[in-house]
Formats: sequence, C-alpha cells, structure tokens
Amino acid sequence: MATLSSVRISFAKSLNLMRCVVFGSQKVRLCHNQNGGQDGDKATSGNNNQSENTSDEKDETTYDYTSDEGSDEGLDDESISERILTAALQFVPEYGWTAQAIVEGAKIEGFSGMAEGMFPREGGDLVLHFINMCNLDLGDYLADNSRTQEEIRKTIGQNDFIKNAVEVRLKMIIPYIDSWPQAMSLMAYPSNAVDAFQSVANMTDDIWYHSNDTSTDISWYTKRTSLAAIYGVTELYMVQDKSQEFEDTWMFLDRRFQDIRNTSSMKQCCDKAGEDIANLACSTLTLVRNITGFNKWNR
Amino acid sequence: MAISRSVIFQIFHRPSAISCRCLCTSSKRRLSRADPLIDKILRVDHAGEVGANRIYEGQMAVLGSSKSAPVIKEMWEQEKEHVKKFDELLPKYRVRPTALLPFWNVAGYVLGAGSALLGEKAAMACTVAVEEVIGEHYDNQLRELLEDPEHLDKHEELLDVITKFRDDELEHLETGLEHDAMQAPFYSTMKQVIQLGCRTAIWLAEKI
Repeated sequence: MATLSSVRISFAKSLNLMRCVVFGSQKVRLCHNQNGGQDGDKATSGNNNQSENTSDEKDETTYDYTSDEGSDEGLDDESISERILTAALQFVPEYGWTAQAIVEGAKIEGFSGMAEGMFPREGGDLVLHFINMCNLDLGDYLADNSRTQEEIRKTIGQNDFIKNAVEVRLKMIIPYIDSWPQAMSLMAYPSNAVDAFQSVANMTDDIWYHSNDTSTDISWYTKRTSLAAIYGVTELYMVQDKSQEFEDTWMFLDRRFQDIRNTSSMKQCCDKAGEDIANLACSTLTLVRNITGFNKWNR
Repeated sequence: MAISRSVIFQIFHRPSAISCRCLCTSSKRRLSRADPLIDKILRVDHAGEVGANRIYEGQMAVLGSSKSAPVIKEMWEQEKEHVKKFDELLPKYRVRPTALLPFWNVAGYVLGAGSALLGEKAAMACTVAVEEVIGEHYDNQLRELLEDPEHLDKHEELLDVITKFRDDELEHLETGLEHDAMQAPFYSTMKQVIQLGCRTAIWLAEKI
C-alpha cells in the first residue's frame, strides 16, 4: 500500500516536472521573441511611454496564454487580431500605416509575420483599429464627465462640452500626426470608407448623447452631421498646423463653433422673418378684400 | 397583467429563442447602444405616433368646426401624450429617430386633411383603418418582446408603455366605428389602400 502511494506521488511529481518543462519552454520562446522586438523598438524609435504600456499589457497576456486555467482565453481570432494591431501601433511612426507595421506587431506578439494575412485591408485595418480604440477611449472619458447629471449641466454649456470633447479626441492623434495624412487617405479608399463613416457616426453620436441631447426630430441628423463636418475640417487643419502645441488648431476650432452660433441665430431671424411675411400677406389679402367689398359675406 | 402573460409564454413557447442573446456577453469594451430589437421597436413606434398626430391635426384643420370635432380632439390629445412619451424614451435608450420623419409629417397631414375633405364619415374610416394596423403592430411587438423571458425586467417599461398605448389605439378604433365609419363612401377600398400605406410606412420606418 505504502509503495503504491509512493509510486503515485513520484508519478505526479514527474508529471509536474514535464508540465514545467513544456510550458516553461513555451514561455521562454515567447519572452525571447518579445525581448527581440523590444530591443528593436528601443534601437529604432525608442519613443513614448505608450509602447511601454502595451508591452506591460503583453506580459500579462502571455502569462495568461501559458497558465493552465483559461488557456483558451484570448485565443479567438478577434482578440488575436486586436492584440496584433495594438502592438503594431508602436511601429507606425517608423513604417507608417502599412502592412510592414502589422508584420512587426505580429512578431512582437509572438506570432509569425505571416499573420499579416489576417488583415486583407492592411494599413486600412490598422487605422480603423486605432480610430475605434480612440472612440472607445473618448466614450469612456465622456461617460465619466457626462452632462446627464443635473449639477454638471448647470456648470458646463452644451457648446463648451462638445468643443472640449472634439479637442480631447483630436489630441489622441497627436502621437501619430506625422503619418496621419496617410491614414486619412487610407480612410478615403472605397473599401474602408464605409467603416470610417460608421466610426465617425459613432463618435459624433457619443458626443451628442453625453452632452444631454434629447432631440427626436430631423435635427438629430443635422446635429451629428455638422459635428462630423467640424471634426473633419479641424482634423485637416491640424495635419498642416506647425504651431506650438497646435494652438492654431484650437483657435480654428473656436472659430468654427462661433460660426455655428452665428448660423443658428441667423436661422432664428429667418424663421421670424418668414412668420412676419406670412402675417403681412394675410392682412394684405384681408385689406384688399375689404376695399373691394368681397368680404361682405364673411361678416 | 404583463407578468402573468410572460409566465404563460414561458410554459408554452419556443425555448430555443430564449438563450441566444445571452451567449454573446463578453468582457471587452463595447459601444453602449440599444439592442437591435429595442432600437427597431422604439424607432417605428415614435414614427407611427408622430404620423398619427399629424393625421389628427390634418383632420382638425378641416373638421375643426363640425360636430365630430370634440371626438377627434379627444383622440388627438391622447396621441400627443403618446408622442411625448416616445420623445422621452428615444434619448433614454439611445435610439435614433427615423430619417423619413419630414416625409411622415407631410404624408400624415395630407392623409388626415384628405380624408376629412371627403366628409366626417370618411375621416372616421381613415381613423379605423390606421388604428387597426397600429393595434396589430403593437401586438406583434409585444409578442417579440415576450419572446425572450430572460430580459423581461429589462423590457418591463417598454411592455407597460406599449400595452397601454395599444389599448388606447383600439379604443380609437371603437370610437371610429361608433361614429359611422362603415358608412363612408368606398369604405372597404379606402381602408385597404390606407392600410397598405401604413404597412409600407411601418416597414420603412423599421429600416431607415
């Protein structure tokens, strides 16, 4: 009996050892790849803390990958592609929004460079991923500062809230500003344009929703369209802006919101004028009828 | 009322339709949007109430001084309440209004004024035709909402609102029939044409 249990224990030990060897080696391989990529990163661009953040996240994810429980997590296509694209972002300053950046991102995540084939639109997919991530970040930011609470609504005007939101969103592209014209041109491709349109629509809807917009008529559409237009032109301006801290861009944004204010007050004037003209026309008609005597049967 | 109905539903109807929606919960960040069913239902209901509102407005513009004016006026007041309720619900659930709203505004008014020009009975026939379709439509929506009992607590508000509005609309249908809608000229033809138009409008408003 005692021998049997000792045999069982030794068997379990050896099994554990084998497991350590197998998974340990896998981990070493992953770490190796990762280190290689990081060195490359330091040597070439050596920039911003964002790459550090992503590599931190990556440490956790690789650990999940090797640990026993939840080994299936993070292995579906969607999250793999997300991981690759997120990692690829740090190579954008070097390679631009290209397939090459995705290849490097895949390598750093421990996949073969061939994983780039998962993204038929190459750079387009990378840009869309970046835009969607920014939109989600903006959504979180807006949800935290949402104007839907009563006290916040009193302190911040709707216009200021929206302007601030646009500014926050535009600042997210500053790290990639040098290659952003390329991204914008990629978004204009027919294969990407629909998704790009969708993401802009989502963004403007988020902003209007959190600014406590309750319109349920056609102005729902005009509001979102005009915001998208403002965002688009400001983005274009920003790409060419060489001023310190993009001051010119924020002034440009200010002026666009001023324009909106002017047009809405002009529209109100027009509406009022229209009503007045209608009244005038009615009374003229009555006057003419009175003078010509046609109004008799109405009395 | 709604709860007892849901219990009956749970016992008798399709278990297969129940759990499909809860499988796709994931821990990833997503944009917070209404689920497609609620999106569709609220959009088309809002459009329908706006349209109905405009129909009564058109009828009142023509029949404002006739003897059926108080009846129409009363129904119109109820429709205004309905529109107000959906105006609240749309932003709450983040549902976009239908893009064809300006078109429904004109079409509703023309239908209301046009039927009223044919006489009071024709106006009532128009009401009967429209309310019948809307009543049916609300019933279908209630069935759809009850189809996943898992989310009953989430849908509770909608179920209450739609049940109440359905009853209001069917009351309007009764009122129309009491006021000699059946004696309108070309009653059955007119009803069919209007109902065809309403169904098309509903179909469009769900999509666009």
